[in-house]
Amino acid sequence: MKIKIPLIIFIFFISILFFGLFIETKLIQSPLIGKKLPNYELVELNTGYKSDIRMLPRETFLLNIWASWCLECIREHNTLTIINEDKKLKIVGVNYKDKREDALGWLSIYGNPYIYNIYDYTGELGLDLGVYGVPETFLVDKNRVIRAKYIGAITNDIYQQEIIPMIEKINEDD
Amino acid sequence: MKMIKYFIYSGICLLFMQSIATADTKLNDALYNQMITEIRCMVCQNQNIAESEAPLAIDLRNKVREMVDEGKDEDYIKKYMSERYSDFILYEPSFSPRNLILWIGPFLFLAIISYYFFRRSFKK
Repeated sequence: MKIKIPLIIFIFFISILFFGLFIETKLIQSPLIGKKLPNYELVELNTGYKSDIRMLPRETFLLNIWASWCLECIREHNTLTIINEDKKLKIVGVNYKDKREDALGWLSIYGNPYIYNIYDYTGELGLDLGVYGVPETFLVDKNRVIRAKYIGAITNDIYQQEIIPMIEKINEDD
Repeated sequence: MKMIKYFIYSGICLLFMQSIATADTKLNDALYNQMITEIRCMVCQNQNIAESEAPLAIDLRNKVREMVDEGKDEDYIKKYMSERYSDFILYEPSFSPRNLILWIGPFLFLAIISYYFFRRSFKK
């Protein structure tokens, strides 16, 4: 008994530290999940028309933050094209801290999977969404509540294994 | 001679005017300078936003400056940041139920250890 208790404490402590080694500190769980999208008053990238929260789709959709200077976004673009062709989800883009000509050029080169793009030149919407590195993607439901956040490029695996089950779950809840 | 006097007087006047004008901002500067050392730069995680020149850090500094100038207090700014970027952005985490183990844990650990230590030495 005398040896056991310190030993248990020791093992407990060591195991906490050991498992701590494998925690991904770079991926930060967003505190925004379960909250409503913040309101914004920006313009649409292509037309320059005013764009705010009321214009977002009234169904579950992806809000994808991207920029033409972001190399990872090119890789992600393939997946977004596939998602768009799959017709299960609409994608709204947020063009983050970019030049308009660069962004439009990027879209004409790689194709445009977005139903439209919100032009966030100053990064104010990005700040409200807690964006700290592009690409980041939010899954938003029809009530404009954020249901999930994906940091980094969305891959086909993430789409098939995480996003689709999530949409089915959201649809069941309704 | 008159010219020099005039310059001295106007100089003193200017100094006064300037100190009145900056009195308010100096108070703000203290809070601003304190806040930017307590907010983590999310893209260079071992620097605070005062040290970092990352674009995001610059944006956050400007946001802090804006909020300070609007007269927002420390709690408001910290809440604003952690609501968007999680508690991780604050170098000193808030005292919330979720963070309780972080604050109480070490003391609890010390209490348990010293309990066993004393019990053992009393038994002897």
